[in-house]
Amino acid sequence: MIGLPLDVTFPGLKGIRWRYCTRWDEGPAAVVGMSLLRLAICRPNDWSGSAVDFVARGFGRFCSQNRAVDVKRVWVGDLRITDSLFELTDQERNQVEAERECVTDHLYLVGDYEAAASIPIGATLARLEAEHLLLPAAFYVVLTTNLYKWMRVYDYFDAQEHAEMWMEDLSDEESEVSVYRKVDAEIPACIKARAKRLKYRRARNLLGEIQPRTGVGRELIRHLLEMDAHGQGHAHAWPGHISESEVPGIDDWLTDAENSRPGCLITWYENDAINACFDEEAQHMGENGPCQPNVALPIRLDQPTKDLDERVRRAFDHAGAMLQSLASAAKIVELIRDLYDEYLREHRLESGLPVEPGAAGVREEQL
Amino acid sequence: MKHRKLAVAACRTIDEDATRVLRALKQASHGHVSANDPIMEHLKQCPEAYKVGEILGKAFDSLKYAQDGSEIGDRYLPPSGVVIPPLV
Repeated sequence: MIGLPLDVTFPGLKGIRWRYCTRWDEGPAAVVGMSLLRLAICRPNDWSGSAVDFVARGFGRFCSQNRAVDVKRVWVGDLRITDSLFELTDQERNQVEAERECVTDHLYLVGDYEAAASIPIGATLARLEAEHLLLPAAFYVVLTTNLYKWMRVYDYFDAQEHAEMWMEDLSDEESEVSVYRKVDAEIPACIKARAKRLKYRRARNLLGEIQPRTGVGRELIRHLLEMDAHGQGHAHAWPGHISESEVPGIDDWLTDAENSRPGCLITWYENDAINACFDEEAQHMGENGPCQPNVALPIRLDQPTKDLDERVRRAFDHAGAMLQSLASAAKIVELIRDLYDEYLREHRLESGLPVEPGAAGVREEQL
Repeated sequence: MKHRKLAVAACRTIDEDATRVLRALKQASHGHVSANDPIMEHLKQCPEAYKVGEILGKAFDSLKYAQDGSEIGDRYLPPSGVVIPPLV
């Protein structure tokens, strides 16, 4: 059925930005925008009349140049420049803005993950062990050390801690049949025997010395060494590293906040004991306060131009290294998932079992 | 020689652009509305265009928060006969 034409004219909106902001947002963005222009991260033609838009365009291009597309293939999260260390709902933001008396003197570069990427590494370790006895432990140590620079990693250490805590309340019989007992039992021998004793430097050297025979082994090591190179000179920028003198009130906020949500979950295979412990913990994450972001770098705005530019440059250096490193890590995780798929296909007993690795969003149900 | 002149001219334009944007950002950092904001220019030339924002704003709010028993999915259009000025 065709109705009568409406006698209404809608305007054609051309050359108009899709985002408009309050002066509370424009002021701080303008200060950072000037710095980004001086550092050549933003360009004059990014200017559309809004400082927030200007910064967003420069930042978007910076992320693209640092392989953000590759990063997104595996990691589910965001890197943002914001005036708050934790995420606010629209309602909370309106309330904060209504109570605000002056423009903020801090912005933060914040990195966080909406879901933990699943890394079922067991099949990969078995492959690496066939290449060299020490290779699985060296690979595991260098991979986790580098991932820790950018995120909280949930692996067998966390599961062991969780299991120990819960086993205290179980009787011997209950403990014997519980999933917690399996956490320790399922750790592959190649990791249990060596990973704790193998230090990062020695592991890194081993990766350079061992020449794998298989293509996939060489690929894994190449991407891992690449990841390691991008992360050189960078340490994890936890919110806990921000001092009270840098951001007044940070200590109180950190006391009320919970630990960061993990950016990845390293299991031996999907739905193993580590996965079970993670699921239990994930159900209660964020119940007692906001979760700290994984990465937080404060940028104090009321400082001399030279100091501000240096601070912004360091924050963007960190962001660039993080993106480049996670892009290489994404390639590694994809290879690990492929090897896990292959393992499932080879060991499948029943037809119809899913062979695809689970979605990265293993924590979706509680978000 | 010609290339050099062109390069010098291009550098000058980039510098001029950067200076112009820096000036606008400085104004914005002090809470002043930029004179270079294209939408502000449009609004100056055509104040009726505020109505566009008002009507669209209400329409989007209604879609986001269904009010007074209305349901999401209802049509939200201005009354028949309204002519919304172009904003181009």
